[in-house]
Amino acid sequence: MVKNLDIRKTDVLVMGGGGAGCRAAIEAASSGCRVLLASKFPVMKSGATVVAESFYSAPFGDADPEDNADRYFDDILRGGCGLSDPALAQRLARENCERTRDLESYGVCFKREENGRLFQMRGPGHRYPRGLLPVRGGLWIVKRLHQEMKRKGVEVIEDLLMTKVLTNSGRVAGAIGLDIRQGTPVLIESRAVVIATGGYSRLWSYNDVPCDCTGDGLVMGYQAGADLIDIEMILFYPTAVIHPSFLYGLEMPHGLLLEQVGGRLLNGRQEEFLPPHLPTRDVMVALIYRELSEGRGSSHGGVFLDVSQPEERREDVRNKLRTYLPEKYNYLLKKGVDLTREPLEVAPVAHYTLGGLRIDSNCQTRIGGLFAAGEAAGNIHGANRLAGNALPETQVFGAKAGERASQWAQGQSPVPWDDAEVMVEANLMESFFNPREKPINPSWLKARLQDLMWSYAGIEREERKLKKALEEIVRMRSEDMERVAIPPIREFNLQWIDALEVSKMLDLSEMVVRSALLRKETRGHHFRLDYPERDDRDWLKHILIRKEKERVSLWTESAAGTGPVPPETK
Amino acid sequence: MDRECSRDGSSTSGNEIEIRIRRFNPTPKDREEARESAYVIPFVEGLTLHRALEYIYNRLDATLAFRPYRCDKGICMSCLVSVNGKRQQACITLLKPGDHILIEPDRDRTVIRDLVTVP
Repeated sequence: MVKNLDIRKTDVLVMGGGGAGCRAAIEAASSGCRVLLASKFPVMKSGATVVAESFYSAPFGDADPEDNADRYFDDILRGGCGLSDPALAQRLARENCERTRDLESYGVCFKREENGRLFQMRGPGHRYPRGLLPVRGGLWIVKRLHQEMKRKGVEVIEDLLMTKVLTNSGRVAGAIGLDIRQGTPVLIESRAVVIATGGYSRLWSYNDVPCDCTGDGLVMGYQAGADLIDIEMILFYPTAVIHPSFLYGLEMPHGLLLEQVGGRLLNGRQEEFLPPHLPTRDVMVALIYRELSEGRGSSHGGVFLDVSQPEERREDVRNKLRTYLPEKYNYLLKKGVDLTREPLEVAPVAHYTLGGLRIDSNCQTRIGGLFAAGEAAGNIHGANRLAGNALPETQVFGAKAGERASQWAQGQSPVPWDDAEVMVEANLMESFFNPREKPINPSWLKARLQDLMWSYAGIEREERKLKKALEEIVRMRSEDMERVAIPPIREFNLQWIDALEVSKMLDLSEMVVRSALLRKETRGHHFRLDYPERDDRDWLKHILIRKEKERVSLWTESAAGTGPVPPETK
Repeated sequence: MDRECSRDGSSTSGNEIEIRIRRFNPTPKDREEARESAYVIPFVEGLTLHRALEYIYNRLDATLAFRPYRCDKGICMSCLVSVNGKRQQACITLLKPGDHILIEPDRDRTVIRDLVTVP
């Protein structure tokens, strides 16, 4: 038996305390199941929902009665460049408004017009105005979900880093993780597990996401036997600040600033280069990169986002900024930056990961009892996501995953976990305390990996660089990872968290690079310099990944639904 | 963001900041007395206290415990600490060249280790 092993029992275990995880827990608890939610850091102080920009798309048709779920569905598919799974897009389109009303019933407020209708603005790629503005942003969405979760009796364990899903004969038996506060292993026996651990934009050094978005859940799902899909597709946010440097990485909502406030995006020569109607983000990133690669960038390697005006027109801009993005405008003022007077230099950074665990329209992976929702799940948006679709995604799929996980749990008897599997995982956790010759600091290794991914598998990709990245990742895992050592402290040891995260980040990076190498075309957010055209004849396909005999196996499957192509094993 | 400076690597100035941090380790032998560690770090334009803690952790002292999550907007309270005796959020606390500051865990909460607290 494992020393100091803390064993808990539940019916449904939800991993992740962001928008999708909390919503899943609420739904599962509503059916009378015992639900335990494990969050890497405290809820409301972890995950990407908390820092989400205030843009939430939903086809209510309050601003334009012509809008409806069917038209929204068409836009999602068009935005996804052929890789959005129609069954999942359909669910997002049809259930969005109902789940959004659930949020209102939990106490979330959305900005309304004086006549009481919802304020809705048009975002790029949406043919109708659908963008709601949640009052006080993503943080208050999580706050209200957290309250509701407590009302429903969900048990929440914070500072719990889950590391492995335990399975037995193709079914979920529970999961194991590290109690970060105590520094001891925790085993949670559970009939169903929902992975809602968010995305993996932290694989790249330049990103605008919090530190916990390292993709743990994808690797846990993969290790348990679930499939990953289209993980080469990374949404780069076109307009994050690169100068002044103290605002580095701050996202500037270009839809609001360019369309509502009347700003302009200018190259280094002060020329506009965007078409009159704001394009979707994949196109915007490509257009910005064209300016940079052809030598028309700003002095710090970006472009100018300019909403400044001469003195006499400043009051008008100020009013618009106060209306559409009051928090951001005031925050910048506090830092001494007045948008009405000066432009900011912006460039693309990793923002949202489109690929993830493959789910069916009921959020089920191919492993019995294993579900996924939110950014950790893939194949919903395809090769590009429309603005404002991440928050409703958390609600629609979070609720569905919770509902199905509780049904599964109620219909199944528990399967025993394998003592040997638990022992191996617990020993792996402890192994970082072993003395090493020439020890490596895990946070150093993490930074090296992030730099490598940015330089060799970032926005612009080509075979030569991707192969170099792959070679280096394999070397880092076989040589550097073996040398990782941490200080002999159990309680809240950040080095321990870094070590556990980077070991999964190496696995995931390898798979991302393999997928990026395999997709020999340019589509959505995947830009191949050596294959610059979209290729619908050969590449209207998903790239799938599965663990087979302890090895990474990749294959493609038609996105038109014509069936699988034979696997290509490593 | 992970980076302390921009992609062009600009904006380091010659000025320095001294940060003293009250340490606490809950293992029995240390329980009696909390100790203090002092670090000197370079000032860069717009440096926040949270980024300064990241700098210390990444480059000077890997044993430092603090809350690594930051919303960077001063809304989530994850990085709440005491700065020279005043409650402040590290992610929106701007540092000035020549600052000498003492950082302690928030006193209304239970300390797990160093600056990490729970309600």
